[in-house]
Parts: sequence; structure tokens; C-alpha cells
Amino acid sequence: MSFQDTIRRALSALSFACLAAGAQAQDCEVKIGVAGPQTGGGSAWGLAEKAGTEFEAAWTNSQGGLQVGNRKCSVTVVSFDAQSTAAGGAAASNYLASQKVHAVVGPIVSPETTGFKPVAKRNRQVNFSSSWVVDVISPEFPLAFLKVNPPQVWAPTLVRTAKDRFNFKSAVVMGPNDQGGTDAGTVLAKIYSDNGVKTTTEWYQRGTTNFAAIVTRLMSIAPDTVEFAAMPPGEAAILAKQLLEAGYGGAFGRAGAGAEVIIKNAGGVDKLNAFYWYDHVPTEDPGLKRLNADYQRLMKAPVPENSLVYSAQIAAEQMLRAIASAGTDQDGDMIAAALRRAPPESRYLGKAVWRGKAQYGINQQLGFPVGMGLISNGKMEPQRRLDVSSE
Amino acid sequence: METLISAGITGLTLGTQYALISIGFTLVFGILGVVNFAHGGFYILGGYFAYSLSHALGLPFAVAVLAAALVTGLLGYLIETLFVERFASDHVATMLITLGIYQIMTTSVTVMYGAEPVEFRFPISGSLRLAGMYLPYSTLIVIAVCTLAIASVYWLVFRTRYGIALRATADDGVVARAQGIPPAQMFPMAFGIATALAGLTGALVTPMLALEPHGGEGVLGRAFVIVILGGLGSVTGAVVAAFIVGLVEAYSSVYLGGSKGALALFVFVMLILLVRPQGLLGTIARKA
Repeated sequence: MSFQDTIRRALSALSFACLAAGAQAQDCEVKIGVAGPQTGGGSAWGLAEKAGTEFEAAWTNSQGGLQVGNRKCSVTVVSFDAQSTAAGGAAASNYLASQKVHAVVGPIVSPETTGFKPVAKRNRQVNFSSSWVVDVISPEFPLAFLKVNPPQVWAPTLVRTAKDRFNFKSAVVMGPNDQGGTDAGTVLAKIYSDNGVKTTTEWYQRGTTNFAAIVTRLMSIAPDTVEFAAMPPGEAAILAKQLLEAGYGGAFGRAGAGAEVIIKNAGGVDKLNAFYWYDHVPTEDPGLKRLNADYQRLMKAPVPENSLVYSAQIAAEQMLRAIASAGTDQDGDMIAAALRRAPPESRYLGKAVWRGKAQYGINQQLGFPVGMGLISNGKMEPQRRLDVSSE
Repeated sequence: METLISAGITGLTLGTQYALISIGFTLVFGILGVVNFAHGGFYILGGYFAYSLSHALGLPFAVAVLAAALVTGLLGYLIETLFVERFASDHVATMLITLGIYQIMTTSVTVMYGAEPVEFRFPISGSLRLAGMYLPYSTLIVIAVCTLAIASVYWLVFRTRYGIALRATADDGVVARAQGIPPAQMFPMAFGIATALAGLTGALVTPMLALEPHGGEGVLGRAFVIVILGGLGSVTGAVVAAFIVGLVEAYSSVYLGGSKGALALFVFVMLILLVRPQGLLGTIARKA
């Protein structure tokens, strides 16, 4: 055998080995689900969540797949539009179960979560909700996890900081008149009141596209700050724009994700006199800058503006790690057990904690740091990082 | 007192916007017998066309608004000719077709512009302030344009031969056909006028509110309430009902709050319909 023949045979054997390895990675598939509003007023949330989960799947696949037992599996994402409704949440669980999905990132809004939970319990699905509904996680639903910090964790600090900064004494907390709006709005109103701010709540019909009449009412109340946290981003953006147009000179608060939509619709940073908001994660963190670069490289698209994209990526990362540890994506109880065993960790934000025992009776809430943004006199200030401790 | 007057002005402002969007909706039902579920989609498309023309091509806002109305009118004409015309007598089929067209519209703009509102602003900002009340300049302009558009529709429907033919078709299609009025020309034109009005409203109003893919759903819901209250197919009824709804919405929201205000509006509409099930100016049954 000549030297050239030897080299040729060696290369052929190497090619065959590579192909075989590739085939091995392709012969098993791990499925994770996404449930959230992908149409309607909350679609900015739902599409950001879908994008974050799809990015995590793409990143895992770019590393050769997910190690499950002795096999490398490709990760696929199955998504369902839960349409911000309880019926949509229930339908999401059933649809994903029909696709053999037992690990779900979502749902997002409270009515979806309320509809999803009991059906998912029957379907043995683990999920990471983003809702601030009062019983989003509980010992009765051991497969339900929470991927964002509820207002009780960070809002006291945020409201106190904003109050000291903008010196407001009265506030109106706005929210739609359904479970999603009133649960979050009532919690926030109490936090404002506990900080010595005279606070009232104003509920409106979800889906309102013109707030002219409500603006007239708010102008007659003349609060020092208007809190939009419980409103979907699109609706909050309309109200902010109409208030500014009416000459409202007080502050705006957004103790919930989606501040960038409000800033954009208001006409930019320079149009806002006093604005403070919360982000699910410290979006200016260097780790998340790396995430942005990875996202653009892998997804060939800009990162969605809504910060829920980061929370979804973090939740999907925990979910995939748990699936790898459990050795299956088909047993919700084993995946949940694997999640509880390992402390949360993000390759972009580092280590975090499980918490929730004091508030919900179960330690199944991710405790990553959050961000606080401030605009004062038309100038954006550096983001503040609010660390979240274990209980 | 200032709040009382401000609420009245807000109600009249809402009324003009609601009237413009509802006239088109009722016109299509009155003439074609079609409940156009895509009406809110044309409102949104009008906004996106105006946004694209003014931002991407740099056209003046007024030109962009007029062009948006024209384009949505042409699109409506085409959609009626290609998809709605052949099923015009089948109510369920036309509902499903228009609903499908609406889904295509919202999905298309979501893919092209994203799910979040785009940065679309009215070119004039600021408010007129009088005795503690405020009236944004943009609102004044929108009231003026809407009033002009409503007057134009009235002139077209009640003062031209084309309008007489339209009303004849709406009143009794068979007799109108016997008089030589061709439905094949009437229907697409009526649909086009209606969608042009929706597009005009969207192009004018969305820069004051927000331009996002699903903004048409709330608009369609409000148009439904107004058209049913005014009487299905009645242009005058739609205008009267639009102002009633605008004023009731404004006063109830200002004095009772947004949540109770919405409830008060629907209770009010329900009470009127109990007394006049056919609506304020509607007929008992549609003939055409």
C-alpha cells in the first residue's frame, strides 16, 4: 500500500467517523415548549420569550447538541400562541402534550398561567411562568416554576429609590380590570403606600386603544407619578403618549418589563422628564452584552427589545440542563427534581438562587439580579443592578 | 367645571374618529350585506402605509395620509373583486374570508415591522390651553379632517347619482338591478370607499396613539357597537351613534373610571337595544 493510499484511507475513515457522529446527534431529539401571547397586545412579551428559547436551542445545537445519557440530542422548540387568555393557556398545555413536550418555557400573563397550571399538572409538564399572579407557584403544583422575580422582591427598593429621586407624594397605579392587571396592580399599590406615597388604583378594559377619556380623568386627579407596570407594553405606550400630549408633567413608573416601548412611543428619551422602570435582568451587564453578540451571530437577527428574551433564555438554559441531568425530556417529575437539585446558573449572568418559600410556600422561583433604569430631565442614567438574595 | 367641559370635548373628539371608522363598516354591510371583519386591518394598514411613506420615503405627513387612504381603498377594491364578490350572498363565507384576510394583514405587518409599536409621531405637538382645559393640536386637526371626510361621504351618498345607485342597491338589490344598476360595479367601489375611510382614520389617528399590528381589534369592536346601536347599514345612524358612544364613554370614564365607564357604555347600549332592537335609525330587516 502506497503512502498516498494510506492517507486516502485514513481520511475516508475520518469522514465516516464524523458522519456517524453527526448521525448520532441527529438520531435523538429533545423538545421544549414555549407558551405565551404571540398575537394581540401582549405579543411583544410572547415573541421575546419565543426568541429567547429558540436562541438557547440554537446555541445548544451549535455546541453539538444536548448530552442526554450517552447520546447527543438536537433541541427543537415547539411554540403555541396562548393569546393572553385562560383558555389559551389550557389549550397550550394540551397542544404541547400532544407534541410530546413536557418542559415548557411559559406561559407569560396571569390568565394564561391560571388556565395552564391545572391542565399541565394532569399532563405532567414542568413550566417556567413569568406571571405575577398571587399563586403562580405553590406546593399544590410542584411542576410549576417562576422565571422572574415578583414585585415583592425588588419593587420596595425601586419605589423608594424613585421616590427619593423624583420626590413624588401621590401615585396612580394603572391596570386592566382582569386578574393579570388587578393582581399585579394591587401588589404595587400596596408597595407605593408602604413607602408613604398616597396611592389609588385605576382599572380599565384590556384592549383599550384610545385612552383620551382616562387621560382626562388622570389630569383631573393630577398624581405626581403614574405607574404602568400592570399594563401590557403597547397599552402603556399609548397612555404615556396621550398623557404627554395633554401636558402631564409628573413622573412615569414602569415596575415591569417593556419600558423601551414606552420610551419609543413617547418620542424618545429627551421627551421624558422623569421615568423609572424595572428590567427582569440587568440588561447592561457585560454578560448580557455577550448574549447579545451570540444571539446576533446565531440567529442572524437583532435581539428583541423586550427584556423577557433574557429571562426566557435563562429559563430554557436551566430546563435543558435539568433534562440532561434527568436523562429524559419525557418525564416532568424527573425534570423538576433535577431543577430543584442544582442551584440556578447562567453562562451569561453567573450563579443565582432558588427562592419563593416565604412568599409562595415553595422554593421554585429563579433569583437572578434585576435592573433599574432611570431617565431624569430627558437624560438616560446608567442602569442600576439590584441583587436578589436567597431567603 | 373644567373637567366637565374637557370630558365633553374628549367625547366629541372620540365621536368624530368613531364616526369615520364606523361609516365604512356600516356602508359595506348596508350595500353588500357583508360583515367585514377585516375593517380593523385596513385601519392598521392605513397607519403602516402612512408611516412607511413618511418615514422611509420622506413624504410630507399630509401627502402620506392621503396616499395611505388611496392605497387602502385600492386594496379594498381588489380584495372585494377577487375574494368577497363571489361569496357576497353567503354571510358565513364572507365573515370567514374577511377574518382570514385580517389575520393575513396583522401577521404580515408583524413580520415586516415587528410586534412592538413603531415610532410614528404626529408632526405637530403641543396643546391649546383654555381656562384650565387642554386640547392637543393634533386632535384639532384630526377633528377637522374627520369632519371633512364625513361631509364628503354624505355628499357622495346623498347628493350624487353614484350615491343614489348605492342606496338603491342597499334598499332593494333586485329592483336596483332591474333599473340597470350593475352590482359588479357598485360592490367593489363601496368596499373600496369603506376601506379607504378605515385607512384614512388609521393614518390620522395611529400617530396620536400607537401603531402596532393588533391595534385594529379594539377599533373593530368599537365600530361593531356603534353600527349595531346606529342600525346596521344606516350611515346617519352610525354617525349619531358614534357621537353618543364617544360622549357616554368620555363622561362615564372620567367620572366613574375606565373599568366602570366601559360597563356603563355597554349597559347604555343594551338598554337602547331593548327599546329599539333594530338600532337608532335601522330598519327592521335588510331587504337587499
